Amino acid sequence: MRLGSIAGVVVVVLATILYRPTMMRNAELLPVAFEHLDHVDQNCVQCHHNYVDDTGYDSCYSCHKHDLSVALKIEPMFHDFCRTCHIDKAALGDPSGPFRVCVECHNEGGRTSQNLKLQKG
Amino acid sequence: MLALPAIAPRVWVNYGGHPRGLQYLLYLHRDVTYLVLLLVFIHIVGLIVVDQTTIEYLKLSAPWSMLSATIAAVVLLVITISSLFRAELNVRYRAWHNWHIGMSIAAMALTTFHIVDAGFYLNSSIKKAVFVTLVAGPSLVSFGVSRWRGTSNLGAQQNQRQRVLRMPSARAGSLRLITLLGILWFVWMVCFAIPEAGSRGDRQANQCAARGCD
Repeated sequence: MRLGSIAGVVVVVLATILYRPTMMRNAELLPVAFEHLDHVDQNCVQCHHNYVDDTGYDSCYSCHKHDLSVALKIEPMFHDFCRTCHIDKAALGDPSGPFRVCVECHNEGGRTSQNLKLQKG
Repeated sequence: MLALPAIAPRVWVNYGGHPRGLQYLLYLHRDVTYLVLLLVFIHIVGLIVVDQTTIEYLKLSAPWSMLSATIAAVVLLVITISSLFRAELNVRYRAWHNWHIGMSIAAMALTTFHIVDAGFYLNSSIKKAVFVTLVAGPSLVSFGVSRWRGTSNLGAQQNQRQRVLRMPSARAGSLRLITLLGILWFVWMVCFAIPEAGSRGDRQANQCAARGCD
């Protein structure tokens, strides 16, 4: 009984740890309503770091979703990056982006920079 | 909330309190558990109702800060069920007691990690340190008291009586049903994030085409 219980716990923990990276790599992306015009007062290279450090190419997802060295960190990297800035602005009383409710950023109806490009075209 | 009544029975017994008072404390411990389960249920379902995107946090691919909370909720459910069906499980009191303490510590540690790492309410190191101390303090005192003074043998006495009982078929059936539901839930959580057929590149292209992004 005791050994069986311990073995069961070990199997579940190992399955979670070993299988989770595969699931994270294969997880579908949520839509993101990112308004480029709202962020033009930021330094470009704050987001487009590949302009100066030559570490990437094309869009963010080209590396952050498909490159295995950073793909598993996509959730904390993007969330910390966006949310920290929004929280800092809100704390100073400045207009800030959303940082609490998921659907304020992750929604289908929001205008994205890519949608704007399509609309202009 | 759960740790404070857990300390009291041990102190009560060790210092010669009346058994009836101990029963009241144990009932309080049980009822606080029901309250916590209700709050956890409202927390999970309420967030999903308000913001459907949060269902992503129930997948195995969720960040550790959220996955820890899911595991903690499951552990809390296992603690409650294993306590309600202790006699039917036919486990020695000492073994059950050790698992109960171990799983309680795990649930509290995982919940604390969830609150601290999610970063929604505690955004400075001082606040995080104070919160961890407030959570860990009563738990460590409870654990220390149990090791230092020994634990109540009331449960062991009950266990002696219960061991001679045969498992009632209806309750045994309920236990098996709950176990089966638990297994199905875990399988669902694992399978939920299994991708559709095709390569990841194809899926991302389909995803973008459906949303008209590129």
